[in-house]
Amino acid sequence: MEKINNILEICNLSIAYGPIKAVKEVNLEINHGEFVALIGANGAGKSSLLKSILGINKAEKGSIFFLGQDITRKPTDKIVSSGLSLIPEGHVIFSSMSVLENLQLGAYQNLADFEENLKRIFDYFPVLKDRSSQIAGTLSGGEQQMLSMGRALMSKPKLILVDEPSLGLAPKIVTDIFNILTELNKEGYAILLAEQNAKKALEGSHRCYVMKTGEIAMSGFSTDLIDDPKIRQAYLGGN
Amino acid sequence: MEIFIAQLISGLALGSIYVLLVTGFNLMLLVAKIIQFAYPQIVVVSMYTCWWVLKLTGNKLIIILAGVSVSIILSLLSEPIFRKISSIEGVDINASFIASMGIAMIMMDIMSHSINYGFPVAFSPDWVGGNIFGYGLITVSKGQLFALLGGIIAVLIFFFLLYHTNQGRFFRAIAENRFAACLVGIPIIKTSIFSYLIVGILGGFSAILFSMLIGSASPWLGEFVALKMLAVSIVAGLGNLQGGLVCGLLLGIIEAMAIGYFSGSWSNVIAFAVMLIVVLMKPGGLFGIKI
Ligand SMILES: Nc1ncnc2c1ncn2[C@@H]1O[C@H](COP(=O)(O)OP(=O)(O)OP(=O)(O)O)[C@@H](O)[C@H]1O
Ligand SMILES: [Mg+2]
Repeated sequence: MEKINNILEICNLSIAYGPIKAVKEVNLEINHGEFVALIGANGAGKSSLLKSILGINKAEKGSIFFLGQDITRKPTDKIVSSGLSLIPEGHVIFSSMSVLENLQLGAYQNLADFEENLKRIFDYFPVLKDRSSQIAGTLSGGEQQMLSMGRALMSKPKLILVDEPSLGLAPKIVTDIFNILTELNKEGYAILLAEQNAKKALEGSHRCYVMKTGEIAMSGFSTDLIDDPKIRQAYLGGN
Repeated sequence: MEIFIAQLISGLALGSIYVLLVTGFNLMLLVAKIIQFAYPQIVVVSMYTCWWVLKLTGNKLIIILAGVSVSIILSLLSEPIFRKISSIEGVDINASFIASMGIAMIMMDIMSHSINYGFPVAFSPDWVGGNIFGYGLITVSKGQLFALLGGIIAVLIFFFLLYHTNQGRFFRAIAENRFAACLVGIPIIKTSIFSYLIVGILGGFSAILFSMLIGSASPWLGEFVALKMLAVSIVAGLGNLQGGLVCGLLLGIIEAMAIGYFSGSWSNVIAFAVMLIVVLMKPGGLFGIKI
């Protein structure tokens, strides 16, 4: 029997919103411990793809395997408890609840080592510790993004899907967030990062897929793609 | 002064029934994302059940169990219907309004065609009970005392559940941000079904307290009360649970005062006039919309 060494495998996946075909026959693979980027312009279908992995968008065709298990038609709560977590675009938080309550909700699938987990999250995001009793809606944009990330990590996922964490944030915070992602990856988390900031994404990741109008237009090692003239032209603002 | 106190007591008792109704209605709005206009009608069917079982047995426990069970069953039965008309993003709230009006209508027609020849039913004095306290014009009936105490206890338990249990936290999470609730792995459908269960229990208790308070029930009582429940919810701010508590009690008090100080049956006109004025001044409700 062939040994499964990928953590996620997507085969011929298509997603449609009524007549709009957002994702067309996409194939994608992530290995254990890998940091994979997914870049593409507005409306390329990145968010649709990430949401379908979590079962929030239903796949029209194709299948998704996580740790060798077919999760294509599983309900989202089962997918989350099997070890997947999505940090969505925008700051999706429970804004009338406290920071701590947000983190508690993130951990509810994994309450066993809550305290230890919480400490770990506070180490990554010290600001959340200082603000733990603050109402989440009153956090700044950057802090909300950190909370959204912290909450996703509370369930101790094996693979983290991150959707444009840099959206609308100051360069300094963007750098912080990318550093944290790199650090998480070094600790062993596999990461799939959707980004429009192609430069940052290519610098941080091992491999990269380029999405264009719902299809994978190109893929390869990030170090190769960063020097590719076509990529430089289309996503890195020329030479 | 005596009239005032007497009417205040009767207003608070009636108000606590409104509070129970609007709390259940708001929970449906927040968690199941539906306008459950049929909820008071379910309560009335449950009252009819109590009336019917009361004729068979004097055992209060059996009567209570029967009333609460019927309310739970009806509430849970409506769940698949509302889920059927839902879109992927959640229930279409307007469709649920129409569907629940239909359900309410069906229940009303069944009661008016086939139970007690369509006449209102009266509960035995043994169930309703007489006055347990009297001082001049001020009296407290057994029904009033039960409605008030029962209402307070039910609301306390409900808010404890909401703020101090995991299920309650799921309710609040779904109410606030369905997408985020999905992301953290809250089972949306299961939690939603649980909210139907809670509302069923709440409805059963409302039925028991309401029947003790007014001592009768009629096929059209449900629709009449449903309008008030909807109005209270809107005046307080749709989905605003805390606001619903205040406004439910206020409506009861306003109605009782109108009965006490104006002759004739102007209480409904006055109550709705007050609510109309409030909505005109604060279209988002007194305490703000929470959905
Ligand atoms: N709920 C929806 N209903 C209809 N169309 C949708 C829906 N969500 C996304 N789309 C469409 O699907 C396509 C892909 O959208 P998607 O959000 O996946 O793109 P994206 O690559 O994440 O873009 P961005 O970088 O701007 O976030 C777009 O054409 C979008 O308009
Ligand atoms: Mg997107």
